[in-house]
Amino acid sequence: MPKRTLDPLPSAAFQILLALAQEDLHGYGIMRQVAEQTGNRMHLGPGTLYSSIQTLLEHKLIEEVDGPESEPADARRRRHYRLTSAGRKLARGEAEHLAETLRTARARKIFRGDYV
Amino acid sequence: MSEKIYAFLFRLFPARFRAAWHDEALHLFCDRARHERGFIKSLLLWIDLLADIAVTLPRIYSSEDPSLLPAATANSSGVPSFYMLQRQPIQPRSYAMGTILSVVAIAVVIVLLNHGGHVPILHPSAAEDAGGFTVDPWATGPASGDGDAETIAIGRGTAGAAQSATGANPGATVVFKDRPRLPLFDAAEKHRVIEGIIANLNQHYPDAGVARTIAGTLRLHEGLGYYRSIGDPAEFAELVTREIRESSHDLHFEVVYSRDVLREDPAPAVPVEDAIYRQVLRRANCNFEKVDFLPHNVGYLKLDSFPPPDVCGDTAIAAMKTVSRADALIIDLRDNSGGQPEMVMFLAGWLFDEPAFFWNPRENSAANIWTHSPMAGSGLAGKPVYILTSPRTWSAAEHFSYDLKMLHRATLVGETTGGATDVGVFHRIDDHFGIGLRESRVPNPYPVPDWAVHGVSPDVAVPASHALDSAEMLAVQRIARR
Repeated sequence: MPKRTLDPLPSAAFQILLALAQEDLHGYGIMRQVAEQTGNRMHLGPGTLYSSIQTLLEHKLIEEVDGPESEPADARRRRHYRLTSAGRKLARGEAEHLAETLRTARARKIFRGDYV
Repeated sequence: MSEKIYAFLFRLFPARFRAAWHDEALHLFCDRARHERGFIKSLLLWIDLLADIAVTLPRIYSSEDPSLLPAATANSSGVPSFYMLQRQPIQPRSYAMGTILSVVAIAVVIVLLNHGGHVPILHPSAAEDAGGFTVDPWATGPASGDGDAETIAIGRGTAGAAQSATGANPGATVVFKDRPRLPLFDAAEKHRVIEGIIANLNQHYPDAGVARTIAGTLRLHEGLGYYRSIGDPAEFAELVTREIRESSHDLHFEVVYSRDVLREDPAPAVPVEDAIYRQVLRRANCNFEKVDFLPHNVGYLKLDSFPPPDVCGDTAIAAMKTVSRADALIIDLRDNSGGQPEMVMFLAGWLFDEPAFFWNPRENSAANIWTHSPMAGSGLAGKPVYILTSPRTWSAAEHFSYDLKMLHRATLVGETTGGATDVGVFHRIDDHFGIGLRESRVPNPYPVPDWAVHGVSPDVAVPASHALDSAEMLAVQRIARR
């Protein structure tokens, strides 16, 4: 199956990379983490989540790992994912790109105040 | 239950994707369903899931096969295109399902065609003949100005063919009946009509060689699919008529389509109706509209039909005896829409002092194409005769005009006559089709074709409205020369 392109990096894929930056997570864990880090603005459905995970796996930006020992047995049996160094590098690059965009926006004074 | 529903919906995804993520997706769903309880949250969950399926399905399928992605964007012209979404071979079960569905669909179509009612064949004349009475298509008449064509002749053979559409017919019948249900006009019906035409030609047409030529032409055209695209039976009848005429060089052929069912046998004249008819005809002075004398002793007879001599013989004799005193005679047929050939022969007899050959394309008996001249009391033989014609001059009136012109016995003044084609015998082919053809074996002795289709041209061409003045002037000049 051909790989989906990640240039530009889709928003869902970037959020998944960010969610995995802190710890290994299974699908539901990723979904909750994404909802949390986006202020509940993004709820990844199964189709979006797993098609994005599949793409990230194919590009070796994340990898599949065993569940942590600390989790219950049934949760450990679920597929967990970890950010690879390539994934971390891509996420960092995307974050810097967004930061640059943010600085530009601020310089153009499109914000109403200095609180951003 | 909701888990099963979602599992069912997940089958919409490509097989490869399902194989990789089915269990994970169900786990995810179960986790969400467990944590998002209550009506509102469950509702939002399902909205979220359905929106997710709607959004991600096209993308996942297009990523399964990249050719779908450009196709989906490039094919914006509305032309359908088909792509295989599954990379796995089609399973026998799918073939079986496809076969069963196809058979069911075909069966439904067949049942609907057989029991869902016929498609009505609409014809422009449907609105015109909304009165719902059976008509004899052979008794066609011109679009007469008086519009009294509600009495339609039903007849067969020589006499029937000559019947007028103006009411001058003792056997006229009007049969009110329910509007018949029209059959489908399909290839089978066209074939039946073609074969019916050929059978009638073989049986009735006097020239067997021409009949064979026509049959060969029609069968060839049918085989080549000339009639395949014709859905209007009236259009079909017109086309076949043209082809027969071109093939035979005989303009007397006419294939007729009737929206109403054609009767197998003409109804016999009902005595009561016959009596009423005679009464009405006599009250109208047998359509002898005017018998008069113009200046310079020019006789003027305006005749609007050729009524049957057995009803109107006395009226005709009285009129002809009256005009016999004239030095010249003008017979005004501008509004004459036809009638009985017997009356044609009867009136023509007054214009000769010996029997005259009066050719009739309908007549098969040589004995009936000679006038009974001289007629007792006639003083018209040898006197100048002028006939006024117009496009409304029709059928029997054309017969009268044509023969007198060919015999150089009368001068025609006015416009070309209508060109009636009811100069043969009508034969029923089936409920809606029939054919009229000339059965006379007596050849036309004149070099000019008869009036069928093209009419009879005048000797003096003037507008019909001025024809009387012109004829009167000619008559006066002629009398002066004598």
